[in-house]
Amino acid sequence: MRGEDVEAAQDALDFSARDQSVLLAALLATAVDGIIAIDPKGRVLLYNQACERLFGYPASEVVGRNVKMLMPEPYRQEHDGYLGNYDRTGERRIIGIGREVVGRRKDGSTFPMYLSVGEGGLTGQRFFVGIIHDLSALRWETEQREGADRLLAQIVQSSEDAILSVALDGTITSWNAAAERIYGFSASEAIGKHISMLQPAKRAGEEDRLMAQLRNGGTIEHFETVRLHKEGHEVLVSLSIAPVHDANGAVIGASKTARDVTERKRGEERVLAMQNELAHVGRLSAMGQMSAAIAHELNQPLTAVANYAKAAQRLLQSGNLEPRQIQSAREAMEKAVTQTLRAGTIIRYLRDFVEKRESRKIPEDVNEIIREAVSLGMVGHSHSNVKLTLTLHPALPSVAVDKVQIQQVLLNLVRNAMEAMAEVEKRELTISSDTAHDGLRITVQDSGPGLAPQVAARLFQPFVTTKPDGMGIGLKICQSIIEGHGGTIVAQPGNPGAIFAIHLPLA
Amino acid sequence: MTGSSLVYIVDDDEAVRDSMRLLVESSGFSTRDFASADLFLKADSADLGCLLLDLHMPGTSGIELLRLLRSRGMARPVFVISGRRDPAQDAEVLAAGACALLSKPFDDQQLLDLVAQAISA
Repeated sequence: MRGEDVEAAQDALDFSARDQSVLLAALLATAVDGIIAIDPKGRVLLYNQACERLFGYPASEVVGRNVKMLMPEPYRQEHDGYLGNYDRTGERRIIGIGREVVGRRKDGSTFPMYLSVGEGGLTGQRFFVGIIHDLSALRWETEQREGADRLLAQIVQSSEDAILSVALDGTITSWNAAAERIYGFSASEAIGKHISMLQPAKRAGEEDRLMAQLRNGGTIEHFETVRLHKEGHEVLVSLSIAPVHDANGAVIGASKTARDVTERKRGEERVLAMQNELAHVGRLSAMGQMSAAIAHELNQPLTAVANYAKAAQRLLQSGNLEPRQIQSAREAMEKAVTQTLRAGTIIRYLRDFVEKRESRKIPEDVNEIIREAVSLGMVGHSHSNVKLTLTLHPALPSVAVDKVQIQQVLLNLVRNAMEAMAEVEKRELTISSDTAHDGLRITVQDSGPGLAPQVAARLFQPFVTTKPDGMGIGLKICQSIIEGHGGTIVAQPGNPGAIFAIHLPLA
Repeated sequence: MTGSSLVYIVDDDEAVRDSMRLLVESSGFSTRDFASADLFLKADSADLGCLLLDLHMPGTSGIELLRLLRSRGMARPVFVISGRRDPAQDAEVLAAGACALLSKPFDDQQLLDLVAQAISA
């Protein structure tokens, strides 16, 4: 040690020797923790300011009295016994150790505190010093946190949705009651297993893909998929997946919520099936109403077929056949064939109409549908001197439609137009397609007598008809079909004739 | 009877009308055909030997045409050919002056016998 250092140490010693009691008093007064000293009988020798705050008693009410006044029952009763026991046996319960105990305030309330006790001696008289650290705030925080955790756990457990968490490698780390119910595995069976155990073979790789999406910062919401129940059947679930981050913000896993949508889906399917059933019944009912007209429709070509065949037979029966007769017979047979095709078309139309099926809307070339419908509609009218004009837009956008249904509508309109022109000399049928506002427009125009205003206004009501044989159902069905496509159908005066205009939306 | 030897056919269905024409002609008769009662009424029918008439047609119906012709004193045979038959309608048609009723499709021999009788009468 060099001379200067020795001198400095000596100064410090002098200082502490002079002012030690002042230092100690300051220490006692400024300490945040309570400091208390008692004699072996438990009488309080020293009680600092912090104690006054902690217990609510001023020092004057405590110093000289038994320290047990600062303890709640049963410790209060037992404290004298502890001290006596230690005195006799030296057995330490707390002295030199310290532990968590409970203090009692002047108002009778209690608080948790950490008490460490040391033992000292002064002129042969032993004493004990206790340092009291208030645990109230810490305990309150812990209780709050535990309470929140418990609440969260209760929410998770009582959720109707399966809630589970997985580590980054796909290992299941938590599993709530709904997960047990939905997937059949108990928590103990599931935790520690890989999430892919819920994945059906046909969805192989889906969990990995979802996890990769998550690692890249994405979340997944209401993703409907299929998972496997413990017993092997499929469960339809709506998955929502969110990343779980560590304190540094790194993704360490995922929390998954799965809602069992099997029932909802079944309900939706039931409703859909009922709607289809209703549509089918509706068509059958319309069928019943139309049956008389349909029987008539079929009877016409059948009559023509019989007549043509018989005529051909008669022409060929004569003994001395002239080339003209042979030619006539050949034509009659050809016409008979054409009429059987007409009958076939009517039957196909009926079958399509009655067939129990869902509406299938797929993108179609509407011009192609128009061409097919017109060629069907013209069957049996090829000798009617009708001037047919197709004005089709060359670059129509394709629209999602049910081809058969749209053909039914066009076929109906074409047949109506042909009938409307039966009595006029100039027969012109013009069918056009064009783009229109947000969609496309198809028009069917005839050169018939046109529609009387009072008929035009009621045209799309059932049982309104301009035809003596008509049931007034056809246009009603046309309207239902077009409206089923989100479109509209209107009748307009054509000058000459009538125009039926269909608007089909693009979307 | 050269003045009234033609078989007139009135039917709005082109195929039925045309096939009926061919059938009648295959037995050696001459015909005239019309797509509606109204077109028939516009034509001169002095050479009408008999009339094959459809009932259900747009515009003037078959039975209306029949009544009109009888009211004008037309006495030639009229054979009504109908797709739909019911007793009440049959009675009405016969009362209106039809000589025979046939259902579609009909027996060709039956029709041709009727036509032959009518033309030779």
